Amino acid sequence: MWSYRARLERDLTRWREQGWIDDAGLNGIRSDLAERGRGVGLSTTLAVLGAVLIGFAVMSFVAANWQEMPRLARLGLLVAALWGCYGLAGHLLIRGLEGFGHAAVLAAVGVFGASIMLIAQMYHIDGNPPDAVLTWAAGALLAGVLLRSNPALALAMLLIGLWSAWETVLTQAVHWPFLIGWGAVSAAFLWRRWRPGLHLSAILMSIWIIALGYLLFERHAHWAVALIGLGICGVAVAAEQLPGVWRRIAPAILCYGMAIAYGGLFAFKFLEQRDAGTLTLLSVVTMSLLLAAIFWGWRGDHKPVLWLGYLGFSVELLALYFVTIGTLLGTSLFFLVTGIIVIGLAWLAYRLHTQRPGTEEALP
Amino acid sequence: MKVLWGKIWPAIAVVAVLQTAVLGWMVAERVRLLQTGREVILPIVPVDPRSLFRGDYVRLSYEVTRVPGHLLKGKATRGAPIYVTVQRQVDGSYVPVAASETHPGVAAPDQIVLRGRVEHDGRRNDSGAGDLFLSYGIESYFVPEGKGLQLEKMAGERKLAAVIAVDRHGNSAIKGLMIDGTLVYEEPLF
Repeated sequence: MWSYRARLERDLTRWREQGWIDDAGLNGIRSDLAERGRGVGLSTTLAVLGAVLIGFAVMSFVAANWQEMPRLARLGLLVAALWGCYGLAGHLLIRGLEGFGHAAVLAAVGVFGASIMLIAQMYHIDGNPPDAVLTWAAGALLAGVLLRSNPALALAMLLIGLWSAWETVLTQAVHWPFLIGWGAVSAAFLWRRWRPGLHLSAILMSIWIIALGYLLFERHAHWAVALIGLGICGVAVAAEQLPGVWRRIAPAILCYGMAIAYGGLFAFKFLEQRDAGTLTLLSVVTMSLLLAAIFWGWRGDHKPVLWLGYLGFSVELLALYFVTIGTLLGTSLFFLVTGIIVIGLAWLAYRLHTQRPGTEEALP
Repeated sequence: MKVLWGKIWPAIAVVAVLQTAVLGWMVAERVRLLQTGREVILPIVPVDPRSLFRGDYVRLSYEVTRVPGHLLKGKATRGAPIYVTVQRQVDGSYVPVAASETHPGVAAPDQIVLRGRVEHDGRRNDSGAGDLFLSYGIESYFVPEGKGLQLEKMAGERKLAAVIAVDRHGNSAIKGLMIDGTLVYEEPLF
């Protein structure tokens, strides 16, 4: 937000000097900028952070194992804290203080989770701990949907992830019920049309798919993960050709597909032992795919795809350097050949670029 | 403003009531188990008796934690429920006599069925030798603040036991602690 403002300010000065905008336009843009949400972003952020801190305070209170009060008083205190937070939330939301209201909702959901833990502690309930996390997630989802609270929905998604990770660690098997919880919270994100939430969904799903490689087919399913990732990349490339929303979300889909495919390929190549020939072949394929992604990102001006491509390329090079292909000499030869090819591609790209009419790059 | 009032408060009330109901249900379920469950006294297997009550949280281990592997036929995946029938011995302790994946139904008067979850399957594949390690949800004990030292002094080298309430589904809960056969601490219901 701040960086956007600073950049716009710089550009405005330049545009004014060039005479592209007049003084009226300049002042109009500046006053619009000043009016729109001055400090709202900051105050909401601080309010949400404050709510998180209050949540931690309640949890520490729980951890302190407070035994002075009789149980009924402790239960009463928890319920009072819960209702107090919701009361505050309603009061703030009605007054139009959305940011603070949702922070109060988040605090209430935090108190709900702390209460589950405290009651389990008071009554020595020692069941399956992930079940408690799932109950908490359900409470967060309920609050998120009924009160239309994005922060509560985000918390629900994170808790679904924690629940699933915990179950996976305990059972050492694929946790399929994750899909139900994930689907429910993702549907809520879709209904809210909240983009950061959908990214959170996509990140958790990517992690879940990459984890499949370590769990399915006697813990050797990395090739399947890579194929799923490549399939998602294919969907993204196809989606770019479609009109409307598909075209807009295609770059994001490609990013997650790339991450999944690379996660699978990385484990397949480097964590499982491969002979030099297979490793070379697979690395050439990986690098070609990454170059294709970089090209796709450059052509459509999708910065995240470009950066992810560069990142993947760098990780691949580092990993290859550490595992060495056959001998050190072999690794050297591999780098030499791929280096020459990539420089060749760069030259080709340069030629294409300069020959295309009307697209000369302005050199600084 | 009127519209907002009508929209927000009912939604908030629904959320608050439902979340409170979940918490209330947790407590009610526990109180029901403690009040109506059959009482069993399970000896606690000493792990390190001197430091048992130091700190505010202890792990308790029982004789029924280890179940002889030959009692259960079939696989035991981690976290799966297992119903263990325990038989009362002359010295008052209980030993596992049967194990199954489903509740065996009515047990003999000197027997009781406990619902456990598989923590670790220590059986060797072919012979069935080795033990199954189960947890029954009565392994964690949060020592009441200030009671730790007192309980530890009382325990000394003497025999510790837990009073357990078991319902007809095999769910169990800690009701109190016994030292040498006398009740030294009883869980309050509320």
